[in-house]
Amino acid sequence: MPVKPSGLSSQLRLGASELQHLMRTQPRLQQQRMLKAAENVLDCMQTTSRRGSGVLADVLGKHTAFKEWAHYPDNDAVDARTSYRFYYHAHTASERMAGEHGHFHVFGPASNVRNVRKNNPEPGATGVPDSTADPTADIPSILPPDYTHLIGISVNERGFPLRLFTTNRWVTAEHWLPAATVIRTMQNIDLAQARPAATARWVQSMVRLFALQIGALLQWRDVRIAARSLRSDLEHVLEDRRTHILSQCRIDLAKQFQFLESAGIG
Amino acid sequence: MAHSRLKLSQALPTLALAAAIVAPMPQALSSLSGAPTAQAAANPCAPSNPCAPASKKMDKKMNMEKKAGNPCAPGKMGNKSSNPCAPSK
Repeated sequence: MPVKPSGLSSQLRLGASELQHLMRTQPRLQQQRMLKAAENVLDCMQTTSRRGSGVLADVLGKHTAFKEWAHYPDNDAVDARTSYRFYYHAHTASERMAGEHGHFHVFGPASNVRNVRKNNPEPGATGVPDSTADPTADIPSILPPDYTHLIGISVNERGFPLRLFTTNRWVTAEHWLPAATVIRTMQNIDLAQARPAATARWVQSMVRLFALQIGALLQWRDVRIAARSLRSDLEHVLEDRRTHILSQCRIDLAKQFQFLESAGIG
Repeated sequence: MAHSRLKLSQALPTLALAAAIVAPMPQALSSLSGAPTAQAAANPCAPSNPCAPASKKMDKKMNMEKKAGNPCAPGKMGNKSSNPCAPSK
């Protein structure tokens, strides 16, 4: 594994050499996406800082008080066309990392049972619909969620990113998917129609800019889950209330820009 | 199509400027809106769940069972009323 996990702790240390290794595995298109994302992040920051505000002012909007646990924006920011979504919130002070104001949770679409059945008919099916049958008769009454958690982005009080993290399944009640699938979903993030627009653009760009780290964190997430599953039932592991964060790493915008430059794509 | 390349030499001053002039946002206030939120914040295993997604209309018991203790789940657009465990907004 090219990254430096600290034993089986959630912490990943991703230095320049690890990132360069990961970068070499990326196709040119992905590298160009990172560059474009860096430009968008810079543009967002220049635009908002001219007003003396940042991305947090945009997402918190006209709320006079920022309340713990509440979602911003109300009902989350959803791109109705792509089903990608995000929201911002803060846990209680005792549950926040040092310097953290709050964090974004970013989600991507996940097929539920209904979609899986439609796309993968059972063997022997003729493909001719039976108009007399109830199409939902054998589908569980409670469908799995139609979203999967891509990444959490912790920011400071000025909206500068501090940390990326993945969560255990129970934390977001997500549709749990393997890292490879989540990474593909992450790479295709599209929040163009989500509102507030400036925040949506910033979130999308952050995900693309830090795609290397996010990919590594998702893979490390699965390594930790697999290790725990050797000792306990997978379902129990995914619902273990003692484990919130499965993988995390610190991030720094300036260092990321410097890395891109050193990698020759900036 | 012409494409302006990122000038990293501009990036660091931009970041420094933004860090200097962006006003810090106030810290989150403790929710005083009632027991469920406070309870869930302290104990995410509690059945009252401030951040569970609002999903298809279901009775409260089913929703509580399904969504118990998911403090970071997304909400559902336009379906706020069907999520009895959502935080006060």
